[in-house]
Amino acid sequence: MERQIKEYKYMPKPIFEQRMNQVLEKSNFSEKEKKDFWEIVHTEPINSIRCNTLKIEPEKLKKRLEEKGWKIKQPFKDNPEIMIIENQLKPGEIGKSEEHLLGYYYVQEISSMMPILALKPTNLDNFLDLCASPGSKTTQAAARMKNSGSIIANDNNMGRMVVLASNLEKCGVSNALVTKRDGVQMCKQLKRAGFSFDKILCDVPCSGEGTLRSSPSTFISWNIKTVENLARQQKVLAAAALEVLKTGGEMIYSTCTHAPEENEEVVQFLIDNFDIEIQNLELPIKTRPGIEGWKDKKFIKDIKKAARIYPNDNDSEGFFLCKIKKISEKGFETEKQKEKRQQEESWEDEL
Amino acid sequence: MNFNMKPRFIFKSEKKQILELLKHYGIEDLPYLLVASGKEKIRGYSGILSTDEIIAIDEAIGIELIGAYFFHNYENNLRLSTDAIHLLKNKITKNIVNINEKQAKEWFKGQDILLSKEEQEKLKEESKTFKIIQYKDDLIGTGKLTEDRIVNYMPKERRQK
Repeated sequence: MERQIKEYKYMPKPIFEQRMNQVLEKSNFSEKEKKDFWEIVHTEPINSIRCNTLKIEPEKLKKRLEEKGWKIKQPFKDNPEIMIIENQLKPGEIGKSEEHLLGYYYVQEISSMMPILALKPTNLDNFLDLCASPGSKTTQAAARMKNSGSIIANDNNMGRMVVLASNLEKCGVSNALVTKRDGVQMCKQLKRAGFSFDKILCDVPCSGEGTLRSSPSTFISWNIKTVENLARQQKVLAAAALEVLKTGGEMIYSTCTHAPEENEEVVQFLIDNFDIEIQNLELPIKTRPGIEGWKDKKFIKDIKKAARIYPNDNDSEGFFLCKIKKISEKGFETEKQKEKRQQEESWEDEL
Repeated sequence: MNFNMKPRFIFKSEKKQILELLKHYGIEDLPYLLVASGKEKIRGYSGILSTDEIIAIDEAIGIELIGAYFFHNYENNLRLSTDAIHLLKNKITKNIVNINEKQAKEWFKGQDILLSKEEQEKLKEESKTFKIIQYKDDLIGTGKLTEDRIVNYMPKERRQK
């Protein structure tokens, strides 16, 4: 398919470009790959959809869309629900089709489908989607769970929650409870009430460096302060989520950004404060390992098991995800609590 | 949508009444937990949480919505939502009206389907109540049959622009 190169309306800020090149180098990009990256981020993303298997089988949907003249490719043999529309459509056509109105497919970027493929929620799981709006991953999870198991889909903003509810409705999701709470407070209250989850998706708000193709305005809105502030919030949110993950349960921490402060650094923070393990990921697209250090920080070796998705590797948007397994209930401690515990442990040793 | 719903579960005797009303569409069973949302709307939940667990979650964090919107009860006439039709499509056997391509196009735009004299004649014996609208293999909504039209209830945000 011929790629639509946008006019370079937005150019990256020099500091962003410099940082991004450092990240790419940490991910072993060759000079050619770096050039590919900077080219592709100025192009329109491809049209990808996910068949909503709660309503229609992938082969039936494919046939219907092909009858309309759409050229459909199913890039992954084991995930026939994932489809790429290879021909050019008229503006808005993808959202106006009868199949879309009936909720037969969801317009979703391929890299954003990866967290649920990695988490594999089943019809026996209690699943929490902490920052769920607009609902792409919640509806994907519900389809995998065949509308059984249990989903709590949360978003802390009224407007976004309405969009979430509307998308769940359209996709025929009937196994979900929708909530509108601050994620951290919600986890605390759920813990107090004795609730915990088998699987959690912690797809946090981020600086969006991976979405330059669909939101090129990120080129100008990006700034390092935002990255640092978001990283702080992400740590608190992910830590709160781990508090309500069952022992042996699994959580995906994900963002649509490349910034190590919002990715590996958050995972390292979780490793430092919880008894958790990073799990291997099996994904159908090309990924690169998490980076082992950034600025003056060194990360745990297992961070390599995390996945970085770069737009030029799969003609997608950029993404980061890491699968975490909770080993025990050892939880988050403040510095003071840590000191106290270490002191008590040393007394016990002496005795 | 009614948010911040205090869950009011619909139990045996009330569910039995609803099942009776659903026979209008040929639906004999409904393996969902039913929850009232507002005065007339009923939602269906297919998850594994028990009613006690749902109440406890509501008390802890407040629930905005439970499950999917299933039907609106108009004085003991149930209008199935477009999405409930998909969830229950294998159970729906009665009160289905087939429409043609031109009518389907109008339907997706949110317009009522105006019936030709011939169609009015054909549907003369049909009860003037809610009908499931079918176009080819798709069940695309619920409309109310009157003398000369089928009234469209497609929500605005779901209409083709």
